[in-house]
Amino acid sequence: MPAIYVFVYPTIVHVQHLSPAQVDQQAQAISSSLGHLNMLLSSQVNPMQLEHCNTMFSEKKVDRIDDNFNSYSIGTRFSFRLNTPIINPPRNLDYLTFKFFSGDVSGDIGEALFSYLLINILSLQPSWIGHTRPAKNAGALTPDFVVWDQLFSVVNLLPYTTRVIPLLAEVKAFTGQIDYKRISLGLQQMQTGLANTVFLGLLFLAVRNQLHQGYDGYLIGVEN
Amino acid sequence: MDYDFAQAIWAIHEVEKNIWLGDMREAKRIADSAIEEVEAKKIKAPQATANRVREILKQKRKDAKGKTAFYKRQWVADQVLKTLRKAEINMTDNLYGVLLNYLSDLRDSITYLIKTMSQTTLPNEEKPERKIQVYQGDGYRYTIHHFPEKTEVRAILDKLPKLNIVMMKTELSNFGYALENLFEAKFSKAFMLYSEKMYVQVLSQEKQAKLLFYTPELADKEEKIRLKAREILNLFSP
Repeated sequence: MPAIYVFVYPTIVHVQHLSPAQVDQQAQAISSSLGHLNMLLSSQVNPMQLEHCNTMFSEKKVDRIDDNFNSYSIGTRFSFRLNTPIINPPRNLDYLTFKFFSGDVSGDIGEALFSYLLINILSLQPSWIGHTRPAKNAGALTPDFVVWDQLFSVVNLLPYTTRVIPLLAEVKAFTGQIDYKRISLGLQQMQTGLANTVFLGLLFLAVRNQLHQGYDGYLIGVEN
Repeated sequence: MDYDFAQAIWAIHEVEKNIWLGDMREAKRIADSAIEEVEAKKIKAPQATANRVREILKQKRKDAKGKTAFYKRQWVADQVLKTLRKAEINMTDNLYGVLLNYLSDLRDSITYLIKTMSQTTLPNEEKPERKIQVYQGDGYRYTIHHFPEKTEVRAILDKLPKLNIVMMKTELSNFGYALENLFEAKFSKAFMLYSEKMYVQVLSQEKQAKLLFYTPELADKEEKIRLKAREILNLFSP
């Protein structure tokens, strides 16, 4: 059965006065320190529950990820390549058949894993979790999740903060190497989303753990 | 101003839960009552702010045309942030407005869906799938969804289930089931049931329950599944 290993970044990241270049630097610092954090907790992931989280809290609702989770978590890639047209793809982009993991699918697993962590490990009620990603797709400026963490189950895991709930969470999932640019984008999204508010932000990074056939989940507290 | 975020999040979740069940009328009722409650308080600023922020974002994305992918997103985020600070836009308003807009969009979609489902004059190829029948049990509502290799029973319980696993194992063994792979957390349960002619995956999360039946093709399959589903769901709401 796959597992999730949870790590907490030891300091709250303050983003209010950071320029884009400084956000990049901060993201690089986070990226390079992720491998040195101590694990806070680990838990087996029940595929049926994960599948239900996927149905309720993932944007694209890929059917039956529980059937495929093991393949994704151990990094199985399509070994065959389909025939592709002789002409070049437009704007020098790669054909889909030449791409490895689909970012959409990994993002889907990331969102499902985050809600799984909240509900099944940190005991939050599902009705406290607002999934606003569809609104984001419709052009609204919003984080992926708005979490009414009434019992401070998540907040208590993070370093001390005076910020209030709701918790605004952004999820980034990685199936390959951790790309600091995506962490940087996540921080910038938090910076914009938290502007002129007193809310606490949370950046959740789901990184495929190739050794242990599961995912590492990193919780990073963000403040304005 | 203090906004009731908990209420808005709860309403969205309840609406999505009922859409999942297939009970569109209940989903619309919840969305209607949540929106009416907000309208009664005459809260209009958040939605206006959310729309304004959306326009700003749209405009900055247009302005960023021609920039490379990563730099474009970084540039847009930076420009939007500067504009928000300059205009002193309160993102708390924006966030609450986004939730209300989302709820309102959900209501519009459901209303449209209910309307198209009730259209009987549409030609065959344009008719939406047949209406899902919502069955009422003792302490729960449920629907049955057929897929090529399985039948899914979705239920919403009136109360949080209090499962006594020892008692449940005994009860289920009386029905001819063996219970395996039990998973328990505060608000969720999952297990598998094996019997001579059926394999069932059972899952509950808060007040939602899902039963996946894998059976051979039988003449009275739906009736048997309904019977078995009720036996299992009755254990969830004693």
